[in-house]
Amino acid sequence: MFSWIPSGRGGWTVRLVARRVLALIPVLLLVLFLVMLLVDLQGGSIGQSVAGEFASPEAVAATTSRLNLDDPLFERFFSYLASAVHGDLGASWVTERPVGNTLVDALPVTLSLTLFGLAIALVLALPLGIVAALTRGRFLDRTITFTSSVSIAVPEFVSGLVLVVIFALRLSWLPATGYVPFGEDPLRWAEHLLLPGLALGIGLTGHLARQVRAAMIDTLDQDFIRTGRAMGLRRRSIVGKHAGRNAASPVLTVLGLQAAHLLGGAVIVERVFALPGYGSVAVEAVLRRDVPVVQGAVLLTAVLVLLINLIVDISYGYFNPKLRA
Amino acid sequence: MAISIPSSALSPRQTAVRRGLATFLANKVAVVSLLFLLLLLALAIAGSLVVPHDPYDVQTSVRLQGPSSSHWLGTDDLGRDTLSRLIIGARTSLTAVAIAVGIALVVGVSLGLLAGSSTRWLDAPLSRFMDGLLSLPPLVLALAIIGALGPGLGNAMVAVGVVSSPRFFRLARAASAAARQELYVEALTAVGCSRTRILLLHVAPNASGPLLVEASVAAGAAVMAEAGLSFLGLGARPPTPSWGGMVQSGFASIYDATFTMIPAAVAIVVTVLAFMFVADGLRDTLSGPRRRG
Amino acid sequence: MTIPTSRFRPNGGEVRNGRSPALLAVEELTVEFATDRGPRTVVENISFAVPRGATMGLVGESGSGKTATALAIAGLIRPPTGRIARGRVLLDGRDLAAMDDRQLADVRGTSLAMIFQEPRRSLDPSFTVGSQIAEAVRRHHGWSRRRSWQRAVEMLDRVRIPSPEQRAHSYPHMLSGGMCQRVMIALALSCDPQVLIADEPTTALDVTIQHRILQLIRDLQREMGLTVLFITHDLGVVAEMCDQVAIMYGGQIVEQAPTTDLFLTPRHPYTDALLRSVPLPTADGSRRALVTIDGVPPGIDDRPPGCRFHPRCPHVEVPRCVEEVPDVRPQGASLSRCVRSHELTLRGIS
Repeated sequence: MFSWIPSGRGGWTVRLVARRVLALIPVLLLVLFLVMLLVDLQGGSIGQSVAGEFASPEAVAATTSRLNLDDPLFERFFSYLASAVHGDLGASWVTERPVGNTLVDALPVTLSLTLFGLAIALVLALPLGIVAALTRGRFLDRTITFTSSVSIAVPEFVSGLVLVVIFALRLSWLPATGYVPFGEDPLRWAEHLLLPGLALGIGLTGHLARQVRAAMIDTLDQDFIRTGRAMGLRRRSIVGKHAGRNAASPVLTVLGLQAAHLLGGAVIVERVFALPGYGSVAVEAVLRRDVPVVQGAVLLTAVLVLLINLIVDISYGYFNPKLRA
Repeated sequence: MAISIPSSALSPRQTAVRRGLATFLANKVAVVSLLFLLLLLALAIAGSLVVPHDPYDVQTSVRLQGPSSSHWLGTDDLGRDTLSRLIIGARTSLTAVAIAVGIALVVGVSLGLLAGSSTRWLDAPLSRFMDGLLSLPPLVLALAIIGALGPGLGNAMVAVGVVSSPRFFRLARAASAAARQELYVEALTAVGCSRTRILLLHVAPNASGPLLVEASVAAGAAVMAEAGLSFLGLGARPPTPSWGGMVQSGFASIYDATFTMIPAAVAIVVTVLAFMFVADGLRDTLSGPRRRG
Repeated sequence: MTIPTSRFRPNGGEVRNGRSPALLAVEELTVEFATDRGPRTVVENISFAVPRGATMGLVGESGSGKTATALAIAGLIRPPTGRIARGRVLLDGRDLAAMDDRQLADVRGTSLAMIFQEPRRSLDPSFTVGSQIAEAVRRHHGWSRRRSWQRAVEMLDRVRIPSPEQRAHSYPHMLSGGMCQRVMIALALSCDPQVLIADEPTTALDVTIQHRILQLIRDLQREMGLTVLFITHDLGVVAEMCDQVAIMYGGQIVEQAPTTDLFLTPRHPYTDALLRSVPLPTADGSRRALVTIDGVPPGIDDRPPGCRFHPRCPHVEVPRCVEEVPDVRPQGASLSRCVRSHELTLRGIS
């Protein structure tokens, strides 16, 4: 079943991975450097913020040297990189807890949320897009298309708040806040993630539905679909199997592009629903000028985006045999 | 919309513009959206003249009220008139859009023009970098920059601008790369026109159509981003009214008064939609009306 | 160009064993397409019959309606794209034009199959060729995966693809155009249809491959007793493959005859013009100017009054040809839609 994943040297998977990583690393480095540079430019005020508004000059000085803010920029940069490669992302300026630990604790929450959002988006967008494509031009199609456009414009926190108000406050069907780990209680885990997942997924649903519709319309126009009909294949097979597999590639592309936005949206949704994911952690850190944590969060995000893109790229091979060489 | 003008009276460019205008005006949704945005602009400029109350006036005695005759959209958790804050909030949003899109345009277009007209040694790393930028979540990147600079509308929008530049980069790069083949570029170079001049005065204007569409899309995204960041407390600092901030304070009082956050939320969504519809309209104008369906 | 001697008459031919010899008969078929400006007739009042085991050619330029006719017969023109406005399509006595989608889906593949012009685009790029054939077989016969696959390999062998067991695992993009067309033929014939409609199957292929594919179709026709409707614009192909021919112009049939009669004694000026525009070597090797037909065929919206060919006809006679709408009348062994056919002596290729 997995024969389509090529193995061996020079397989396109390896090349793909290499290319992706190569594209991402410079950006990452630049961003991290930029952050450090900006911190540098702030001079003493960072030390001030961390030490506290009312701290004495001596306390501020002590804080500054403790955090190595006096050291030259490049030295700090490279030593950060050196430790990061070993898994040491420094320690929080505020809590002194290792950044790595904080992020690892927060990661499952964000992952669960993102997966939920993704799953909900797929479950909604696929049928909607297909129906829109099949009823092209008619009322149902126009409604779906319009709704998709609108859903793209609704920010996650707005949809999140609407959902909270309706389902949590007014109807009390689902909890408004909090997170329960999967290991503890799968059912309540799902309960707590349903509304946030929906909030996160709605925007993605809009994008996906539009893309599914467009891809299906294009695919259904192709000659081989006509052959399928000419051979008397059932409509179900033609649409689901043949059109579906061929329409998957452009949809995957959109998915890959939007995955990054999904991670960004997760940050906001986590705040609305008080989920202790890395998004919440990052925002807290920003408010408290806790730079190492912010840097760690950026690093983590980059890795996640990379993973998502890799998965998407590998799936291309499954749907498009021409790519497997 | 038939406009009968003797064909010799207009240059090809003028006829194209007229036709484009006609197509755009035929798109009712786009026109309404554009009018709405102009209204918003008017409010941003002259809003303080039309506000019913002082948006900064704290009156705790009337906090969290629903719509009434004196406060058409109710009050927030500090008793300030929601409608007034909404109107002044438009200024914040449009300022945010201006900064973000402005930066994105300047950075993206200049780098793009440069990349498209340079050798691979310059082009490849720039393009790679922009691709990488595109793949990171904009919000997270914004967080990083704000984390270093500190919260504030300006900082936040600089971040959003930088993050939005890759799309403009791509367009500008494609335009300048294509222009290399064009005869008029050869001719201009032959008469001694400097590369910068060519790029800025000739290539850029030709790409202005798609750039305008992209700017509209980016504006919508900037509104969403500003709202999101303000909601998180990282954007406009209180007491400056901002729609995102209004949603956030409404959220904080969600158990007491659910209505408070609605006006701002609606304003955000409608504005983003308006930018989107205008972008669609512009896209249609450029490429001719799309087949419906 | 060898012209086969024809054994069939245009009106359906000899009656044998009491069975109607016309397996496929089209009666007064009219097809409409939906356009931005409303429904338009692309095929008007076509009638012909193809005897069992014969090959009928449907010839015309682009826009003549020949492909639309083929698609309509196969039931592939359905709302909202278009519809069969009038007429019947009789396959072994059953009217296909009156069937609904479900019934048609059962008929297609088993009784009637079609192959198309661009074989590479007509195969699903995401599935192996073997699996596509096997799928059709499974759908219609309900066999197991294994048996269906075996049948697929069998069919690939029959269309003379070397190493069929390995080839069955290939994807279409790995195969050449000629191979893809063989696969298409294998697919079309996999469920033993009685009728094969071939819509310009060799137009997109190299000339050398063309010949082989045509040979293959002929051989398979003999082996399997197929009745073939061959759509083409190439008279050379017609000469090689077809027992009878119908010439289409502007959505109508303008002439219909056994092949030999058509080539030697055409009864319609358009046929005559087509024949004379075929570049042939002269007996003494001298050069000859290429003969063309002035003007262009009418589009859907600008059909001329009266005879549709009259603006381009070298034998046009005003006002008859402009005012009278000619209908089909017999002329010797042929049927011709020309009011002057009995007066004219057209030489064709002779």
